[in-house]
Amino acid sequence: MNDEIVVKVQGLGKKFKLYNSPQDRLREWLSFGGVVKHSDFWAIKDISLEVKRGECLGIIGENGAGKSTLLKILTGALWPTTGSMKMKGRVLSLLELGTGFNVELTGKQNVFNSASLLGFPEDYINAERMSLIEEFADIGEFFDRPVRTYSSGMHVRLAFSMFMFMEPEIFIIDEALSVGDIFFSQKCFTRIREQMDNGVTFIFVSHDLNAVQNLSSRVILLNNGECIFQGKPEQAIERYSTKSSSNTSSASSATRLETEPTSVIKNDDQIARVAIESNSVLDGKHRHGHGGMEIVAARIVDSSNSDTLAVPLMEDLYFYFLIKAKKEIQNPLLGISFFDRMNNLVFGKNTLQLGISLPKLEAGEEIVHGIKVKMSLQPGQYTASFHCGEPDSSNINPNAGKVCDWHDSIGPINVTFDYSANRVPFNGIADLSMTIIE
Amino acid sequence: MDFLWIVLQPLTMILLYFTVFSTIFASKMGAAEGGTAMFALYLCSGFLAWSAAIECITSGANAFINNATYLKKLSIPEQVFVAKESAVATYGLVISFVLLIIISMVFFHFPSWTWLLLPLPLLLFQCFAFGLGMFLGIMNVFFKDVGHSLPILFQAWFWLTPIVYPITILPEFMQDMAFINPAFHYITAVREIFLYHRFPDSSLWIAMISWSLIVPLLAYLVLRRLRPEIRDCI
Repeated sequence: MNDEIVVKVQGLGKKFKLYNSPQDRLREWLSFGGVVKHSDFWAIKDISLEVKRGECLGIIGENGAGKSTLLKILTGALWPTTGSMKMKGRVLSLLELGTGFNVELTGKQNVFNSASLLGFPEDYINAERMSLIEEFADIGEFFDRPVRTYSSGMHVRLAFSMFMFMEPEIFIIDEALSVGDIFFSQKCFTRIREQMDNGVTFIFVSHDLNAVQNLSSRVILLNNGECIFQGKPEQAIERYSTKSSSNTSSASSATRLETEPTSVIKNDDQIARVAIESNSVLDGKHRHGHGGMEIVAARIVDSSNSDTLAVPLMEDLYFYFLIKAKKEIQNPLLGISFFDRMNNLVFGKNTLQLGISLPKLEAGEEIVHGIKVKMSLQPGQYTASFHCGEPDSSNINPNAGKVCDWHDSIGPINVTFDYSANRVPFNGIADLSMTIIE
Repeated sequence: MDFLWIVLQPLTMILLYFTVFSTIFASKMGAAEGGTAMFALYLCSGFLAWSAAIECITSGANAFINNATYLKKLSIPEQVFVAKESAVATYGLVISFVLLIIISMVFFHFPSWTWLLLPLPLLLFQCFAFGLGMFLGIMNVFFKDVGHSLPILFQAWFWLTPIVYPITILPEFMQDMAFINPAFHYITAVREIFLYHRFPDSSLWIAMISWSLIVPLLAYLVLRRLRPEIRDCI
């Protein structure tokens, strides 16, 4: 990797004019600036960045943060409102994936066709490159059949394989990387690394934080169109995961919990109460329950007591809950569940299952409880749900109970792991207790 | 096969007109315009030039909308899409005029040196159509009604232009007003050269060249101004 800067973006901003109707646009035009009928929407504001040759820049952010707009401007499909950008060399973007395919032509003919449409010289696709593409796509004799006979999977494989061997100077990759089966996507990752070694510069946008961390040498974090962080992938992902970072945490993360975390604690300390409330991860958007008792606020911290939603694999997360009883609750229980990206319940457990009975609550009483969880989960993104309730003693089924308050879709919680530096402690979804029999 | 279709369409049209006007309407027309074949030639030369221009304008007006997927993703300059449509229309125009010339010889209308000028008014007409098509194409992105209203407007324009009738049958005040219709100049010049082997007079040239310069230029200025918004809106 040398220090040549191939992408230089300065003060880039994109404003969209939003009109309520085409008539409004016409009225505004005809008045020659006299009437303003549109409202402005800045999709991105004041973005500046530099990328060196052979570097991989990751871009992360929530939906609507401006990632796609930024990419489209970088590819030239949109024009920036403010700022300037300079790209050295040929830019290829996966946004363009398969746009130029003519379904009547065969896969091979389409490769030729698309290459010239993307501005590559006639002789760029030589026999050697074509055989590489054919081998990579691995769609057998379909390569010489019309694209209209392809399955959608083959279509994508062909498009992808073609792009993988175009070798531009700058390669822009968006979410599309998640296509194909695992073998194909593994092949793609290997090929991307190869290209990086050959000095191809990558700009990579994804929600797959693991992939971002894996490929990128630097990451920028977008939020509401602004770049709020630029730096090491781990730090950017941590900032992204600490969702509250953008609004509250910078001021309040100093307010550390004063309590020493234990597995289950009862703490009426006023400071703890305030800290939980001001750092709460609950948004109340996905909530149900019968009432009677509620989780007012919840806070997630790591072993150093800082608020976070990112945790290294095998380390502990501390969950603190502020519970309020609306009426007398004889036998309260509290539970946490984790769900993976496919929304499978990965793990869930409550205090009853833990063999702990929480003290009885009087009407109007507030209490703080803490639960410690060792995150021995496959690295990735998870959401949590918190719930409180009481068991139904009248029912003979020992698992019957009443949910008083249930919060869903909390997070995302990211379990991180640095594959390059450590040995993976286990394979699979979760770590089961395993010992050798003496 | 594709080429065959491009040839067949104007060929049938020309043959039909010749048949219809040299047999069915033979008694009605003719004397005034110098024979039935002459009227068919009058009609065909005007109509072929007109329909190529209208095809160019219509497809240009839809060029951006039809290529929205490309505009959304690629950095290809906008005018390329309109230019491609114009090239297709012009290609058809060349073929149909070659056919017309061949058929006209069958009817004893023979070429002259003046015919070498024939490409000029035809291509100038296409330039004008390219500019107008691009302008309408830009408007069509923002106002979808533009696309719908065009066929209606073009019908009116067709009948206001002396294509199927000689200008002399119009009332005098309309003959005087004809000069404001850009299509009139091109079609008149084509007929001067093709039918009468005459060099079109300078006022025709001035009108044609002005329209063919000003309209594309204005369209380009509009495009330059609205370029970013086209891609935002499409």
